[in-house]
Amino acid sequence: MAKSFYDKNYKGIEFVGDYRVTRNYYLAGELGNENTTVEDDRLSFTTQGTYLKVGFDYNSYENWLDMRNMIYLGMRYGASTFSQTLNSYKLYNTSTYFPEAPTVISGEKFNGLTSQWIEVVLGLKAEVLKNIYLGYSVRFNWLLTNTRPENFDNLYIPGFNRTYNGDFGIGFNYSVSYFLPLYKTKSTPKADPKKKK
Amino acid sequence: MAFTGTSKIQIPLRTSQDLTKYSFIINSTDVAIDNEDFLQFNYARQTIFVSRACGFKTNFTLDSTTPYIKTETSIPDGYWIQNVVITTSNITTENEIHVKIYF
Repeated sequence: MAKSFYDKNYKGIEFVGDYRVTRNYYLAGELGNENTTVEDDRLSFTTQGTYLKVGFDYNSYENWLDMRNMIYLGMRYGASTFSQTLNSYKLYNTSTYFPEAPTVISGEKFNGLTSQWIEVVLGLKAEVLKNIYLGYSVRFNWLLTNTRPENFDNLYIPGFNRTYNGDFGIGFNYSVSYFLPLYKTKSTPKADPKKKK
Repeated sequence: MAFTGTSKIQIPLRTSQDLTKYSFIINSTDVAIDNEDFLQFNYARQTIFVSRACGFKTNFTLDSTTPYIKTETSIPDGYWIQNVVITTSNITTENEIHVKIYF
């Protein structure tokens, strides 16, 4: 959500949860909604949609009692349903004989698109103030399925991030989260729903 | 554009409108024997997505009833272009012949 404040082309919210299953393994999930407008050199489009990711994290950091810091490696299975709106584009022309044609205003909308992918996540979360965590992660994504709009493409997928030629993608996330204790036991398990972005 | 001693030329079509009118001047460097004809090409345009980096390109389809209109200069000097033949009306690549001009 923080990105919504400084980037006028991005509006998004993500709910993150993880549930500790064993000493080092967490079940993890993210649910989010995004509305992004990308203004590239030759075209501008808006992607809107929702995504869900489920998976696990392995925490390799040794926490003392009551600490919940993490350095983790995880995997996710992600899915998204979304729409693309082609706002405008420029016409490609190898000849410079005529002046460049004016930008074409389109507004064409493609609905009902879906994608599914696998992610590998590397990240860390540290408690900086009481119950407030700062997190940073790198994600490597691999597209499994992707319905492409006709005469356009999915240049951005909510939850997956920017797409590239081929099926791989990479993303960087930072998060500010707070810990809501649901219940406390002497040992596992613990559940913490958090809000981020 | 000037072409010397060649039988194949490439000319662009306007991507912002459905017609392009060119003036073809033969022997343009010699005022005594030059001759100007006009050829207007009529077509329909279709934009095709290429990639994120390139954006969209334009394919042209020459009009089936009136693909070209040949006209004279305001002071007529006779046509140097005798015949115009459309070999391919779908213009999608620069690597094939679309129009042949006989003179």
